[in-house]
Amino acid sequence: MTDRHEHLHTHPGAPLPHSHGHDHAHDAPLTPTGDGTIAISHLHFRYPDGTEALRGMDLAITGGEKVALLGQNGAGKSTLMLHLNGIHRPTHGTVHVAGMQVSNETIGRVRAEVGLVFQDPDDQLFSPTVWDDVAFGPTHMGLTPGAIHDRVEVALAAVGALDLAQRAPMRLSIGQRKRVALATVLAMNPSILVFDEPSAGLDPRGRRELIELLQSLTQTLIVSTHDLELARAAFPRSIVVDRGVIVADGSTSEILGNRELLLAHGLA
Amino acid sequence: MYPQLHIPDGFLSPQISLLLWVATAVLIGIAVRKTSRTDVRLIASQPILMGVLGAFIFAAQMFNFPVATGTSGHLLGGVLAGYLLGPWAGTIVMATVIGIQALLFQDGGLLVLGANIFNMGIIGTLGGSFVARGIGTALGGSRSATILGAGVAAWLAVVAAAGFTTLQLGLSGTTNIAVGLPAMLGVHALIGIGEALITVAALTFIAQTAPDILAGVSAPRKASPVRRLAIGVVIAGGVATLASFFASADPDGLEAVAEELGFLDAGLSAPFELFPDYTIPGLDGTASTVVAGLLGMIVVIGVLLALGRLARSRTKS
Amino acid sequence: MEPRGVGRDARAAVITTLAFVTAVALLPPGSYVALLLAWLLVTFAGALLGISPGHLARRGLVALPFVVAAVPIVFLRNDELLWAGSVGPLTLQISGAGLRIALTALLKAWISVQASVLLLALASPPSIVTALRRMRLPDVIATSAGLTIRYLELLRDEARRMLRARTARSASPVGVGRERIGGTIAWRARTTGNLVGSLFLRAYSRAQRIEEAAASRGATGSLSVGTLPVADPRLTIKVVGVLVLVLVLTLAGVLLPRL
Repeated sequence: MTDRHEHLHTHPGAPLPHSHGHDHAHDAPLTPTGDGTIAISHLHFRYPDGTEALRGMDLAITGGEKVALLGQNGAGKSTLMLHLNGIHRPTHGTVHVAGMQVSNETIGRVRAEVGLVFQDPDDQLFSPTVWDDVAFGPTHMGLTPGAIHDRVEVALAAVGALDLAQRAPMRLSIGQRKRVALATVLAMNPSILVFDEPSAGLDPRGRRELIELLQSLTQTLIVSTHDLELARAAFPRSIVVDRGVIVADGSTSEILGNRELLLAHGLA
Repeated sequence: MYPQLHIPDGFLSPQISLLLWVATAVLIGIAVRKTSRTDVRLIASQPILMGVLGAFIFAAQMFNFPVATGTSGHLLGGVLAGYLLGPWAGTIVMATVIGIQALLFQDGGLLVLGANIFNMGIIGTLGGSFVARGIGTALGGSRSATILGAGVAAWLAVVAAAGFTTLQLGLSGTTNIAVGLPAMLGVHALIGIGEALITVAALTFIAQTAPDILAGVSAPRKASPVRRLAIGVVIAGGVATLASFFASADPDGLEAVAEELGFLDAGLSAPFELFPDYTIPGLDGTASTVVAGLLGMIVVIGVLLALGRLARSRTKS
Repeated sequence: MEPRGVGRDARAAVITTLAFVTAVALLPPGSYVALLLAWLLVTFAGALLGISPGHLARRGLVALPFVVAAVPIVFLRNDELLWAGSVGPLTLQISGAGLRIALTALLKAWISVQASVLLLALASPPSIVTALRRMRLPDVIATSAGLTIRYLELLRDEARRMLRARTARSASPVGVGRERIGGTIAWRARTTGNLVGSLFLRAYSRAQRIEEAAASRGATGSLSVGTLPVADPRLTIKVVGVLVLVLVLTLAGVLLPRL
């Protein structure tokens, strides 16, 4: 941890590491304040070029639920996920997250409530060090240097990446980058985590570690994936999306056992 | 919307347009001859790197820099390209980018393309890169010195490009230099700060994260103390002249400039507010501004040329 | 007219567009009749290519914001005063000559943009690069322009995804609903610089991969931009025709009444 001191030179005002030992770091800062619920009704979305990506979706997810979003490429999974964070806004219908309707009035809070982990960690990581990248969200939220320090440390510890803090993100392995990308949103203390293809590009060991990590998270989890084994391992509930509508919603074991359904929607 | 420098067709007279086409063609011709290698290392094929980095400059211009609610800055990238690829290859890449912007996106005209390449590519990248090298050398030639030099040069490049654009519009009879020049220089003095900050931050990031790529770029140059002093004096003189020009041309200082920036940002909705302090019969008052502006531009050109010559002689030796 | 294609000789299209834009630029201020003629030419050519006049006219509006540059002239010239008076605390006058200059510049820009939209409808970007190479554009520029066009959308897409990821993490302070810009200006500038630097490293490693792929196929150093298409046999006739048309337009500007 010698380079932690070096790091502090670039962040004057940050408290000394001694005052934030590990035992202290696991205190409350990452207990989500939101209730983690999602309520979507009659969601329609048309891209500016006229493509109807979502054609009437209704969905209710309770706090702490673990849901896999299944469907072939272009089915509307990514479009749906981008609605949860207000990147896209409905053409018709409403999206509520953690009790707030996503709108211009709430967008600033919605982004703190819903953490989006993108498929390619390189899209998400752009700072010279892992530490700086995890600190981006808390810094943008205007937290005090001490609070930022706590948030970063706890988030990195949660994904087992504290030792990577001073490394350059681009020098890490894909598995490490994926974990750091998760830490960048965990540091914002969201009650909902949304992942796009988390297991893409991972080797078998990286995949196993990812599954363990996902199982350890207490937030509401939504995962878009083609990896049916991942869905079976960590997500009790599954939703099948095809051509912008939800075609099946139920227990993962039931849905994955229905071969006809999987074939009909390009999942097998 | 932000005040942009891509002149569309119709705003410059054909004479000015053709004159600048000739100047641009000559300088790009020299650049093509000089481009036997790029500065960035580890890659053997220069056209591949130049082509991909052209696309990079294009895409990097999309990254906005939120200044205040509703106002954001963007990177132009001329000095950045010059730092990464070397002045000549960087100039070709910027010229290509500006050309493609005109052809594919109608961002800037075709007959005036020579002028746009001249303002942003030649003045911005070629001139800017030599200024950057001059400052870097004067400061001792370390990595942080060259990056700081690139920052100052990035600011100068934006301001100079705005000045040249206004002069060309004025010579074409499309704008009033007395009013246009201080307004454009003032606005771009602010925009240039964003350009400088982003350029410095991007280069610092690259130097920290991938020092191997920059290994051969803007390497410390051995310069005698006398030469370093000379370069320092010339640059300081240039900057001081420019600064005093700003101070004298616009007595209301940054406040007025900020007002103008606000106006330009709001678009065309309130076109009258731009000139509250320049009400019409003030031509005698503005005459001095014209002279000051022209002098300022001449000094900048002189500095750019002098630095260019210095840098060239150094490259040869 | 023939459809656009990579294999076609696009020189005639490039020369026509440049000549037309030059002719429009040559029209003196106030040549509204000649400008109307030029607009009709563009609209007619657009119709032949199946592009509606409305679409073309809308595309032409991209040059509109630049008119800010020509606004001072309207208020600062002292000739042909159309109106003088005060608006609130300001004293203003509007010069007819200034108005004419600004309006003419705007119309020229609007028509010229439409002409370059037509060029793109006639010739694909790579075929324009090839045509320019035939017209003595140096090889290093042609190659690098070709690659820039090839990788443009790819890198813009990467930039878009990076921006989206940054937006997704840009939350407001606790308790504030509306979007709020966070951090200091210097921190935000550094963040933007980091994005630019990251994109550079991605572009750089892409360039390395392209080079490796090219080298594995036996290429050394430079990439050829492909073979030149068969020269258009009627190029000379077309160019002469274009020049006659342009001359007519210029004459119209000189002879037709100006306002």
